[in-house]
Amino acid sequence: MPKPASGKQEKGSGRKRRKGQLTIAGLAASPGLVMGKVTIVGDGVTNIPVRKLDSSQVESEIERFRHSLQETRRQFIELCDRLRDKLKKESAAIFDAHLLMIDDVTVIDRTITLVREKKIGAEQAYSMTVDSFIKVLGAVENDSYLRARTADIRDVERRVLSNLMGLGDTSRIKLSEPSVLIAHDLTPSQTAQLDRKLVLGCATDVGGSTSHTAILSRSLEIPAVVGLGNISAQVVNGDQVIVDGYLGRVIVRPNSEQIDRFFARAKAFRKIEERLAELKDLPARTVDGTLVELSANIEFPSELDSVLSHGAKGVGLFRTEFLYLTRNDLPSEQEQYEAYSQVASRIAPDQVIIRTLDLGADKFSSQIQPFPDPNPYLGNRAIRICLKRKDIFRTQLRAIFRATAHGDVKILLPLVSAVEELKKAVAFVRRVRRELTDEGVAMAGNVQIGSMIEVPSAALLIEDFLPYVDFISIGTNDLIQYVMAVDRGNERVAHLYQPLNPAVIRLIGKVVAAARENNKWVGVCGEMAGDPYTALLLVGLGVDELSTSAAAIPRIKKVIRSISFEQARRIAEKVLTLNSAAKIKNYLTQRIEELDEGIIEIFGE
Amino acid sequence: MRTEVVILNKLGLHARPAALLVQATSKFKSEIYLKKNDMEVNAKSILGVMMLAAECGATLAVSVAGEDAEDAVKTVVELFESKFGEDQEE
Repeated sequence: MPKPASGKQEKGSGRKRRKGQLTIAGLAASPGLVMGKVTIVGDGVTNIPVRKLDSSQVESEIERFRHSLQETRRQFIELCDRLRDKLKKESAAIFDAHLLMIDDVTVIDRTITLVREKKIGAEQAYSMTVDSFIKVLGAVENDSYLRARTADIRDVERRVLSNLMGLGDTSRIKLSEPSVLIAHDLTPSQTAQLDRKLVLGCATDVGGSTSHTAILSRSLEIPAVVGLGNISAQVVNGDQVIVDGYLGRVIVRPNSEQIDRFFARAKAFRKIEERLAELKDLPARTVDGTLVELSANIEFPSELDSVLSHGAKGVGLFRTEFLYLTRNDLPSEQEQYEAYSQVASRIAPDQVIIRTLDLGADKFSSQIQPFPDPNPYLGNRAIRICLKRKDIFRTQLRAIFRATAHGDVKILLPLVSAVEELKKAVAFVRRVRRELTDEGVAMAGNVQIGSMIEVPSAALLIEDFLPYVDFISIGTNDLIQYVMAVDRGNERVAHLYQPLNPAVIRLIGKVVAAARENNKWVGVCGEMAGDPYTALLLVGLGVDELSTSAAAIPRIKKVIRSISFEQARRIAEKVLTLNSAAKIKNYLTQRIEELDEGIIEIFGE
Repeated sequence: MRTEVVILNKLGLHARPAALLVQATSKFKSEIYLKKNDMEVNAKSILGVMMLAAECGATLAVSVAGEDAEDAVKTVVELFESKFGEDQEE
């Protein structure tokens, strides 16, 4: 069976590490500047599920196994393509051996035979088969070639198993000293379990700035850079690195000059943060008196300290998935009730908006679905799962309604894409409320229900959605990715993920205008709310509430307090007439330069 | 069909020659097996071939059955005789 993921990991022997200093550019995912020692994190396959199959499941299990081999092969070819230029011909042949191992007939046949005869899950069958080969290879005397190959076989095994198991099953990362984590990728559940005291920063090969790993790093206030290409192959455990979450780059094995610069910059940033901290107890009000509700996104109740210390007003988005992702069974009504009411009572009298379960896409739970969808962002996720699994949905809604007795709680439904779907979901929410009323459970008199607007169909039909809800919240991360047809986690197309694309801005403009006309309040809870440029624009478009990571709150507050609503409105009006993301960015940059000098440094660059 | 081959390249049948061998044998429809001492393995299985741990000088029995057996045997023998293109480099 594979070893725990933490610690050393033998890489394919074709890659040679460069000894000297190296600066790698990626995408800034979570702000902050840190220096520390590297701990490399593997793909994290540790607990292989042990399952007994019915006779009727055998063939589909074999199909699933074949599919995961295919998937592993595809991923491996991509990796080879990326590395090809850097490898000598001879090293490339060693990677051929990896591919041949994926396709090894003996291994495949034996695995399938085990699944058929013993009626066990493919993960277990595959792992048993690989173990038996490794045992034989390990017994070969004094053969360093073969011993090195067992690392390659384990590598292949890990990849196949993690494809078989989806993203939900990952190991806890154990650290003994403060470290910078470097990985090919971190799954949301791995990130969710990071210990803030020991993880100084994160850097990964893949991922975009709005991947859930990036969002989680921000909410944990861990500096992170993603989309670094092959950084995990360029470092070894114990290397010194500087993670620059402001500029989106990582310096590997920095020289003394770079280390001096690091300390100088870290000091300057601390100064800015200190000045922003002075705004903590001031309202997010424009120069001409328009109040913007500036609230925080959270994943865990434990983040409330940070929410309060950064001067947020309420929680604009409580993501509830992590109650489900960090465990092996489903959370009970009571556990959820405790989490929700803890947040509600601590943040009161300000509001907390609880978003119902948004599983699927990159947040995969094997408890709810045995294996991932082939196209998960367009698959069974969020409200689609909840309307099929009403048992899970009901448990969560009951917990939320019970928590309404302790503060100002609102309910937000994710990924709604059609009017009938919204009607069905809202009707179910009301039905659960009636059940609780009949049981005599204490609840708030009026609980607002809102819909996320993050699918283009919902944005286009906004007038038809509004009659069924009390408020809307625009989820810009998904909206941008669906409008632009760009997977936000794919670093090869990340440049097309454009928050400032006119299609995105105009669609948001339409939604906000419709909501205001119908007297429904409108919030934005994506990353656009936490970026000074886009936040300014959103205020100008007439958004009532911005919800972003706690760490971003002070600078957004500074921006809001530096302009008049009238200025922002005129800027937004002009932006709606521009026809490219570049022009919009240019225009915003010019306007911002005219603002109060003290604010320029917040915009960075 | 049966024949014998001797491993001539210095490093033996390690990962790279094993990969070349499996790539070559996989192109044929015939069943191809290699045997060293008591161990017989499928020549289309990289792990199988590696498990032979055949060092320089070792003799392997090759058995091939199928419609393209003749070509397969020829290809396998040539690969071993060419030392998998290894020793003449550098």
